[in-house]
Amino acid sequence: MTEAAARETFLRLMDEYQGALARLASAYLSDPADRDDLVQEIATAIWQAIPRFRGESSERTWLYRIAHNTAITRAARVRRKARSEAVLDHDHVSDAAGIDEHLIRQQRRQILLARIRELPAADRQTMALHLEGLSHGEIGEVTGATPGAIATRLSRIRERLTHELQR
Amino acid sequence: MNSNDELRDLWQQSAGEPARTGEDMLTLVIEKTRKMDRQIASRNARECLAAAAVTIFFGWLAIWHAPTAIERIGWTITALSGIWIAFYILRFGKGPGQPDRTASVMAYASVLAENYERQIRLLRSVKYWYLLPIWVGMAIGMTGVWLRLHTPAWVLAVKLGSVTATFAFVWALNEWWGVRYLKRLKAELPQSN
Repeated sequence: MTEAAARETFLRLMDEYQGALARLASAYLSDPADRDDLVQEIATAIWQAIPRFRGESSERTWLYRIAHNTAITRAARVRRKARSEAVLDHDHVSDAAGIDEHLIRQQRRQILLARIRELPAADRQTMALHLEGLSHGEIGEVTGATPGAIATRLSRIRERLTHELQR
Repeated sequence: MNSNDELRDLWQQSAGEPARTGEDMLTLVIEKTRKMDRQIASRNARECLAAAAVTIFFGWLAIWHAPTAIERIGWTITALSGIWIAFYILRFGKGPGQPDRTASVMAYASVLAENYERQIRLLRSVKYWYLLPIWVGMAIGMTGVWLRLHTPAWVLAVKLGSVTATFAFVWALNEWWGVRYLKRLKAELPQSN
């Protein structure tokens, strides 16, 4: 692959997936600066992997594999900080709940993200990929888990998250 | 709206506009890639320079400033330790490198866990391959100097004690802080179930 082609691919991928990568980062880290660093690191890993992409898997699952693999390496180093901030997020949310619709929605979003961050890594990845709209088969391609395991896992996590949001 | 739709809806709203354009991101990642290459090159150079400094300094002591055989043996062992450590780091310290990030998460996590295990084993054995050879060489060399100068025994005890305390500190850093840190990273990896 020529450098021009690699650049073109990269720009297209960023155009298409930068929002998804930012959401993925927020499933791992709560601090905006840490999340931005993570997105940059994922983008760097994608840039380095583009010349080796042979199309054995779909571009989407290939990209999410890189993204989650990069995230588990980096996020583990800052997870302790992220956990304590997640708790703070939730406290803040509880105090201010009920002010107006927009605020409530924003708060529910924060609770959802905080709870996703607290999930074990495999559950967090499965849920993030599901919420991005990937099928069970695609999630299996990214994570390496079987479709049956993914279905069971998703059902359990959805129930738990819904319950948390209703509290 | 069912619970799944609501979760997805909340999730989709969780990121605002992209922080930068694709072009800006490209510039950033190219610079980051170059910086990473420079960092790897400079880290390798630092390791080799440190080993070379130990070898040159103690080699110089052994050849030009060691009037007795005991001193010569001690400083030669220390000088050779520098070469041995550089060899050991280059041969065993680097490992298989970064696992393939395009692999499935389970496969990647499994290779990463093996990498952490290898690093933990390396840190746990630091006392044998890194600290012990230098410590033995320095202890013999300092004993040789003490015998030649006929200084009081406490002088040798203080010098050996200082070197031993420094080495013990390095050992403790690796064994307690380093190993615990790596174990924590390993525990954060996704488990297959």
